[in-house]
Amino acid sequence: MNPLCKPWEHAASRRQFLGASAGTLGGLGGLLSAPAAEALRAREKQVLFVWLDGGMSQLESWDPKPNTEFGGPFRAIRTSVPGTHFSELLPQCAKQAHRLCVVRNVSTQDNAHSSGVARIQRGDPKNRGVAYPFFGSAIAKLMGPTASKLPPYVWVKPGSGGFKTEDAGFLGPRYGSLAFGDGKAPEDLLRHASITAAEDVERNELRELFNRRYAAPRRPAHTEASSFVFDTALELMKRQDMFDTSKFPAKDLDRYGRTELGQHLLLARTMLEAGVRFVKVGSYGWDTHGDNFNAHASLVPKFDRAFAAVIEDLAASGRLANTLVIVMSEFGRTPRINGHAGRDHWPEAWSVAMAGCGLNAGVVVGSTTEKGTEVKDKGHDIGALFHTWFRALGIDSSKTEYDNNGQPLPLAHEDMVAIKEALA
Amino acid sequence: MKDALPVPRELKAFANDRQLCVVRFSPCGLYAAAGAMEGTVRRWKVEARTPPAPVDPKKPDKPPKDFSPVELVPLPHLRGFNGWVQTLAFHPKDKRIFCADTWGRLSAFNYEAAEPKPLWENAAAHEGWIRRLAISPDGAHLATCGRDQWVRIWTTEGKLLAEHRAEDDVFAVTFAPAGPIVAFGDARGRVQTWDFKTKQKVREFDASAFYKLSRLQDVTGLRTLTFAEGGRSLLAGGCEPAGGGFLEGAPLLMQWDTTTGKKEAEWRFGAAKDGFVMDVATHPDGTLILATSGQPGSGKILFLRLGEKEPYFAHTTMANCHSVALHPDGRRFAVVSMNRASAGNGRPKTADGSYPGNQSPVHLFEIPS
Repeated sequence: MNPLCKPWEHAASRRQFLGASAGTLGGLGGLLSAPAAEALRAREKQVLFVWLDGGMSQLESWDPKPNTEFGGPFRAIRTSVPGTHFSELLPQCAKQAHRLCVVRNVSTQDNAHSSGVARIQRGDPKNRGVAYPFFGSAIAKLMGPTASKLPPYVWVKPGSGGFKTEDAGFLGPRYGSLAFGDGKAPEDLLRHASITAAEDVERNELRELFNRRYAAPRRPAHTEASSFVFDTALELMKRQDMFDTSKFPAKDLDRYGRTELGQHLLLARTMLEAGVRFVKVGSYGWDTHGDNFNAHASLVPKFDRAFAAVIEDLAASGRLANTLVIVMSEFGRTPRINGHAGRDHWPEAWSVAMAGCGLNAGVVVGSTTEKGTEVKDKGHDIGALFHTWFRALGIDSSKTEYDNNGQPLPLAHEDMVAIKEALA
Repeated sequence: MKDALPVPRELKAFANDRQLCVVRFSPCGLYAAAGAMEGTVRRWKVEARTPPAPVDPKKPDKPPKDFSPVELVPLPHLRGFNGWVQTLAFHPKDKRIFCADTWGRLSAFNYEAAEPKPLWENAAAHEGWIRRLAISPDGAHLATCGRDQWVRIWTTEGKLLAEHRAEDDVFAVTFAPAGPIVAFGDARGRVQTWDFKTKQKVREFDASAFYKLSRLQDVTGLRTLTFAEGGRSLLAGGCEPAGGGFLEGAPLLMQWDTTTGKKEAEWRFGAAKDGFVMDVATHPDGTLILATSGQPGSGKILFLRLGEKEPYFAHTTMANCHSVALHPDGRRFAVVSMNRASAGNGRPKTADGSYPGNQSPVHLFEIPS
């Protein structure tokens, strides 16, 4: 039984079955026929989380306001959903609109990167003196690895890689993200040529012995993390082919775009296919305080191409039905255009786009005022989005709690609820 | 070398309720027009004023503080545009003004009309953003360029004469002083001269200093192209980008010999916060008047003479100078700038809870005789 959850939550839910058996499903797969195991894996819920760091402008993407004071130079275009328009910078996503769920009345609390990035990704719960986990860490804890045994939470990002324990908050370092810097496999992933397989087994047995001795007098969270890294590295060693971009079909590379984000989203698709539970893809450079419109004219089409391609592929393979896809930033950008033709930080009224499992498709939730300066009605804070995502994945966040060494903690802000219009 | 132009003095700043992109004077000197970050062109009548007569002729009063010997008197806007009007040009001989918007519309108006309607318009001159419009010195041709990668040559009646597909988004175009030659430059700093009669490339110029790939962003620094010295040299103005996002970079001006394509000079005007050379006006004596705009609040008007290492005059008290236009008398110029404190994260705190947009004053300067 998952120790995080209340007992009444475990009344024969499929999530319970998958979560509780996550550590053994690989073995179970061995008892099933190959097609049956594959079918089982295909039904496992997964997450693709696209993080556009710095803040994509809602006005140059999901919520255009053409020909208004702050609307900017671009046109709005029709989408595959009658009556719904996106910015002209999203022509490919416009063709996938019938698969998307766009929340246009997101209204959050923090307009600074330094605090806002973590605050958003932790769901901005009530302050209880603990650091909440990022959404990826939460899913790694609540759902565990899939039957693939691949690491449950990976982060494909520009720059450096490594094990990013800070994401995990109070869950402990084991639930941090395994980051693949520049989309590359960790260095020294492969067994050194001078070591035989048998020697490697012996070395690992010795390592495990030392680990047990080291762990005995220490808090388990830290030693678990260390062992976890080695265990998942062993699984990754078996799947090093995932990182071999030279084997990506040229057609796919073209469809996703031969850009950093295009390649990383293609790698993300490959990882989802391989069975990674939660793949986060990060893209940097969206903090367009200067020359916002030319910046978005360059950035958004690259995102558009890659994101539309991954949605299309997930839909074509049937995976979208079991994959929650989210694309967001820490906030949107100001309607007001500054003297450097830039837009600044704007948490007041912005958009989050989603797709996939548990969500309504082809819907736009909420709206903003004519000039985009306010959300109409109440708006939705990040806590409501967290509830929505948990629900979409089959986790009832209104009843499930974390157990932080005896301290019960809600999964998401307890004063907020899931966005009904977004949920299927 | 001739004496330098005298240091200019500001006559008056004329407020606007919107942000403006570009300002120009009509060749007759009696009108000014500015493209706005909305679908309008603002117009003014340029009117001379005399100071009020003193009460006691023996004790002449100082003119009132807000007195200006030249006033910009607002006229009805030119309408019918979408998005922004980032570029416009007056015909050098008749009463027409040509304007282009960011949705691809190219229009001609009579700029003197009290309630002007388009003389002609082409709503699909380009697929989307028309970045620059130029008119040939003889008034026979228009050139446009846009985000759709096309450079197009038109008659001033709106008939398409020639077109060229560039390799990328085209940011600037200008006519040579004589002959069927335009210069244009794209997002990656590829500048070339092109003969629109033969439809052949004449020469390439390396302006790659105006381009940088910063993470995912192709950062384009090029903003303006100008022929100088009677066409002997070509100037490119913009920014040498250091990075995207905030878009930091120093204002950069490059000069090439148009015959050889060889770079002759380059100037960097300030630090990374100072941004772009946004616009260039050329005084009849050859002095370049440059408008620069960078991080919010950073802006300069610079007087530069070709052949000299640095500007001999810098006006630094205006914020974000986006455009400069020289009056045909050579004694006045107008600058589009921006209100101060134009930036800020989140909702600005106003007493009435409103959310005001930024505004572009038009500053009128005089160059003393």
